[in-house]
Amino acid sequence: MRFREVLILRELEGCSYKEIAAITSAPIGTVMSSLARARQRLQRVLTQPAGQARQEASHGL
Amino acid sequence: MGCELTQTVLHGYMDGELDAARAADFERHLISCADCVAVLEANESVRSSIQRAGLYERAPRALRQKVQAQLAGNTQASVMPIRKPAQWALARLSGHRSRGAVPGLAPAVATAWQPGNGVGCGYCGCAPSLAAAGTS
Repeated sequence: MRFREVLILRELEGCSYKEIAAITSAPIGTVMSSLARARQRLQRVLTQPAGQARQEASHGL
Repeated sequence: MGCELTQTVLHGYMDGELDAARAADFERHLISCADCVAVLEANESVRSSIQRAGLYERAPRALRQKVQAQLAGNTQASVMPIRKPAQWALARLSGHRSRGAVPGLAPAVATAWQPGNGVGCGYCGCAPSLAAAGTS
């Protein structure tokens, strides 16, 4: 499951876990774990020095 | 972060997905867990920066509805021809001319789909013999 997708659905579209699971055809457990990892990674990208962050961002988000 | 709840329950809590009892449990846990408090605050701050940043613009309501209506229309359109031409063709080939059928379309479909011309109905992937059998 793509991190960007779960983050957009949750934080910007305001979908519930159930809705995200339906949209992405993934089990709710997968939605939850993807969301946790996506948040962790985005936070790391946002708080890192610019050069490093760019490299990391191109790798996942 | 040491606490395992930072990867699980914490997200359910901040997304309002926990039931009241589990949310209350987690709030009690927060009193004694500095890890969870730190992660929760960090996540909340990421969330508010994404939401505030103007990165995203929701489609206006009218546009959203229009697109959804068109999507619904397209779904129907892709389903309808699968049934209708077959019925028209059947009516035509078995000598019935249905009053409800579209006059210009039925002959066209019937010519395009003759049993015995070596192809199936073209829609469902059925064998030629099967397509022919349905019309005789």
